[in-house]
Amino acid sequence: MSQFILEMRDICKSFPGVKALDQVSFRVQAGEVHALVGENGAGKSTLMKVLNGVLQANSGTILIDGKPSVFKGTKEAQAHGISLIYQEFNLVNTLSVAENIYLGFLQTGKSGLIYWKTVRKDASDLIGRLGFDFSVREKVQNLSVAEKQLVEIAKALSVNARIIAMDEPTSALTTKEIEKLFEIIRGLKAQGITVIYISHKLDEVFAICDTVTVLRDGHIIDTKNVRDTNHPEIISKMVGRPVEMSYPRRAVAIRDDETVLEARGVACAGFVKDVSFSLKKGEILGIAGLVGSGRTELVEAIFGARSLHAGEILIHGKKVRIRSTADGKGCSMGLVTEDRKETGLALHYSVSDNIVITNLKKISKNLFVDRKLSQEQVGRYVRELGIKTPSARQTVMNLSGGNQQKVVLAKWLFSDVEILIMDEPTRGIDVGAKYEIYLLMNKLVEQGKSIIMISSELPEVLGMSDRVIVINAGRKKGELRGDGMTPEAVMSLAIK
Amino acid sequence: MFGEQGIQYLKANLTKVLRSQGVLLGLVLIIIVASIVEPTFMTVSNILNILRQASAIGIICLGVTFVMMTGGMDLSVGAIVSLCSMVAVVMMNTYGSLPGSTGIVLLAILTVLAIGFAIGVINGLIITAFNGRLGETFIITYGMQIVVASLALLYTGGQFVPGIFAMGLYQQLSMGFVPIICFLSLAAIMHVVLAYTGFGKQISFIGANMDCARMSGIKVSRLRVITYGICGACAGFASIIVTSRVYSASPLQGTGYELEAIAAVVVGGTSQSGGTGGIVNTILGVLVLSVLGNALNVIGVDANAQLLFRGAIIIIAVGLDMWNKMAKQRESTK
Amino acid sequence: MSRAKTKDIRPLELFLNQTVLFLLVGFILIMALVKPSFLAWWNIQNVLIDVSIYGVVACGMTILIISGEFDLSASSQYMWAQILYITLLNSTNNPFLSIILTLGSGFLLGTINGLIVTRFRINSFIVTLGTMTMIRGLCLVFTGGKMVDTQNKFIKALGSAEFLGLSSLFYIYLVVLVIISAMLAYTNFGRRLYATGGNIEVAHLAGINTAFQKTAAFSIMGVLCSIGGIMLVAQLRAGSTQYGTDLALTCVAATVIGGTRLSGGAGNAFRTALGMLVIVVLYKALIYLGLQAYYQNLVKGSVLILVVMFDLFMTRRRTTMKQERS
Repeated sequence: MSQFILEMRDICKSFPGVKALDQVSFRVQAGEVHALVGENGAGKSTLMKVLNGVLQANSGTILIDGKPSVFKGTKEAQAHGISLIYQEFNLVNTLSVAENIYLGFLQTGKSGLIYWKTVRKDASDLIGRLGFDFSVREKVQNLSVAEKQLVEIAKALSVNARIIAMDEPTSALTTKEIEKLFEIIRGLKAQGITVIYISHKLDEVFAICDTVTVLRDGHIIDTKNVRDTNHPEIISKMVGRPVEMSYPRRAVAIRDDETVLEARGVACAGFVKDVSFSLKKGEILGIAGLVGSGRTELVEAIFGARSLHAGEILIHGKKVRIRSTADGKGCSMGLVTEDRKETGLALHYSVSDNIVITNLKKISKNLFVDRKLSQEQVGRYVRELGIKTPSARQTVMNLSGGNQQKVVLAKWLFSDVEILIMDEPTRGIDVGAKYEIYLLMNKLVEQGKSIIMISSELPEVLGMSDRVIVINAGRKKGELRGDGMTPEAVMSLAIK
Repeated sequence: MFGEQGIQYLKANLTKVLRSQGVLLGLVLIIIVASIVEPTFMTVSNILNILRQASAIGIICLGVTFVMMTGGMDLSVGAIVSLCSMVAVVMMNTYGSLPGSTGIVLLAILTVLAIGFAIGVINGLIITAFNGRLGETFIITYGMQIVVASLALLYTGGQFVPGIFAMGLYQQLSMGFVPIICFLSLAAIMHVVLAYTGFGKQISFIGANMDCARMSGIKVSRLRVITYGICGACAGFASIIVTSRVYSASPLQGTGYELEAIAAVVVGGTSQSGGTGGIVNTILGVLVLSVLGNALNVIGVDANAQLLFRGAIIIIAVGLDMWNKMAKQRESTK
Repeated sequence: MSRAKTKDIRPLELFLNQTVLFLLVGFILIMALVKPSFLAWWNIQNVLIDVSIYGVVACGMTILIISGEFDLSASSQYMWAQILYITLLNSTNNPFLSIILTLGSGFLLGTINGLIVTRFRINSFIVTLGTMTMIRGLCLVFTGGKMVDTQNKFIKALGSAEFLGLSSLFYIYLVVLVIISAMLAYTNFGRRLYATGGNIEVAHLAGINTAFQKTAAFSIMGVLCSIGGIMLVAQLRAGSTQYGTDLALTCVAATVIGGTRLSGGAGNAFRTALGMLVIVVLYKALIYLGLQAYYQNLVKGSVLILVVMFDLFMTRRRTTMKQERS
């Protein structure tokens, strides 16, 4: 009996033109919490999908409890006790919690008809096992992100999973919710369930995991016990070179005498109650707060994507009426949205098409779009931002997350924004690309632009901002600057 | 062995050509077959005939293309043609025999364009009031179709209106090269607008990702309303050509036009989800269906039986397009 | 993120969900006041027969919408069923054999629709637009545009049979309604339709054969269209390409009015039945009020738009209120 509950040996997986996994050998001990870290594109998702039966490896073997197994589909993987929880939840929003847990395979009674009472009871029991208690009749679309995640874990438990792999489980959770998740993971461990924890967040890895494996460019670099290593070592293995942990420094660029944006008493039905703040030229203003506190709605209202029910907005001291995103853009503002795939980019369009859309006048001569001009201009931005793409005509969908985000940035720079609002700018982006975006942000403020940044990653908010305002349930609870900018200070203001 | 390699090479490229230009090839095939069966098919007069008959529906298709590029649909165009036909002919009958009838013709055309545009704008306003997606555009324009069709019926109490105005400029609008020129010049203008102007690029972008368009500062609602207006105006314009040809107006004139138009646009390769395709594609689609119709007529296939072919072409054309898209996607991830 | 908020919304939502019901009841009351004979038994019977015939097909449309698809060819399939059934009836004089063959043909046509949509991944609107055209062509070629009729005694009897004062057709509809509703709510097959329409990738990953689900939905629709066609023949003892040209879109409208989202993953047959009731009552009321045919359509179209607008407005409110929770 092998001590390794899971062993993946010499797994190779190629896609047309890309070798995603190259002789990957990965071992997990029974009952441990094993972290899998690596940059975007390193192959973590591919490895997990091979494990889960979604993809078939070109070569190599998978051993469960020492026995070789072949998974031709997720159902087979499930039968062997493997469950994968995706980053974007695999839930059907229109259906209830109970139904989602047993999706497609609900308990039937003697008559062959579904016995809903049993289904609901079983579902409630599972939720209870995780230490929670909400109605399993609730439609999933009404749940919070943390609750949805619980449903996913309940799903895994319902098929008696022995190995649960979680892909970036905390990307949309608040600190409190992350704590609760850790409790659950400890609980799972106590029940003898093995957890594979895929994440970029090394703080969490060091907090909850026993072992960490680093993947880079389709190769396993190393596996270490968490106790025997540290942040810098892991990061350098991930990136392949020694990397600075801190956020890039910048020359102080703040013009205290120039207030570019001022929000007074901004209110937005249901989300924002009363927020006032100002933004100086050359400043990076961080907005911190719990998920759901109204930060996104606040900036959407300022930009014009959401209607303002009360309050005023002043640009360079003059009151402006912003009733649509076109108005917002007209005031030299730009909004890099939270979800670049849904609202930031037209995925099937090219890099070029996506960049020019905010300022078609720039590439037009007398009403008509000029191809040459367009190529020149786009080329400039691709070079300046370091967007890695074979050509500007490449479909945006094929780019990595970091490069996609750069395209979004390029789009707004193209329209010559003065005030750039960024909502979770580095979400879902690997360490290397994150650093590049931070450098870009610094460059922008040094050039005289001003940035408002919403981030749920405390280190990021504190590391990049000149000043931080904390939003709590739609109100500005506090403003921090200088030495007062500490994680504790932010948290105490963010939590009621 | 050269033979084997050659065959492989041919096979690979043949499938590529087949799926990307399948519709065009189909058109060529139909023309060849028809010419063999009936030599008079490829005569100049027949070709002109085909093009002339295609012009009216073609103009409607141009407007529908714009709407479909934004990811919507307009089921009311047929009814707009009915209503505008009635209005145009009644106007011509009332004032057409008076001196200065050129001006009347112009007035009729402008009136009808205005009516079409207005109805289109109303469609657009309702749809954008609720950020309607495909499903909503479908139902709302369907409702509008019912309303406008009944207006057409109400206009003369359901009576068929024969043309009683003097022969003249109006009739000329459907003779000779005139309708063809109208169609092609409008197509050229709309193509340039769609493919080369900021307006056109924004419209396509709305179809590609409406949320992203909105978040990028594009005036989505306003542009959509204008698009529907243009579509309605095109339908209005088409009614002039139709009534000119038949020298009368029936309250049910445009029945079924909307489905024909959507079929032609889709066969041509414009996706119903928006963002891809365009005017050139639509012209191809219009040609294919018109040539097919004419060819079948010439061969002697019953009008009813023709429906079988038309339905099959729609499915085959879209199937090829899907195949092409999937293959392209696989290639691009290399 | 408080749970209390949902509970507050519940009663309001419940009210909003039943707006259609309120509209219907209110409308009937108004009609009853204006013209009391509207509530006459024979008129109610009339309404119920129309609701039953179209309602059967609307059940199928609901199933398809739940699974995320449309079927525009319903009208043509309905026509074809009438023509085929009458032809078979006249030639074989065996009503039961004719029914079985007609249902078989419906199943076949529906399955073909389903296979094209799933194998070639083409949007169902387009595919069924194509098949609608083809089947319509088939009907026209078969009948030459003429009406066909039958004198078959069985079908005459079926059409005029009554039980407890209500037409047999209504009972057929009830049976279909109950079976379909039970299937949707209490069988895994039914629930998988919801999953498929709600989020096809998730359904697929959960091991559901989404291609099969969709194809089966189309097959069921084919059978239901045939049943509808047979029912019409029972009522009129005739069939033609004139009857039911607006069937497909009327069924979609009934589904929307009944409160089912067009995006899929939700809805049920009872709500659609309610929606169909609204449409038919409205239509009959207009006839009853003596409104000319053209005005009827005018009102019908406007009401459709208004109801959809109202529904969209309510959806918007619901989404905005829900966002607070996410």
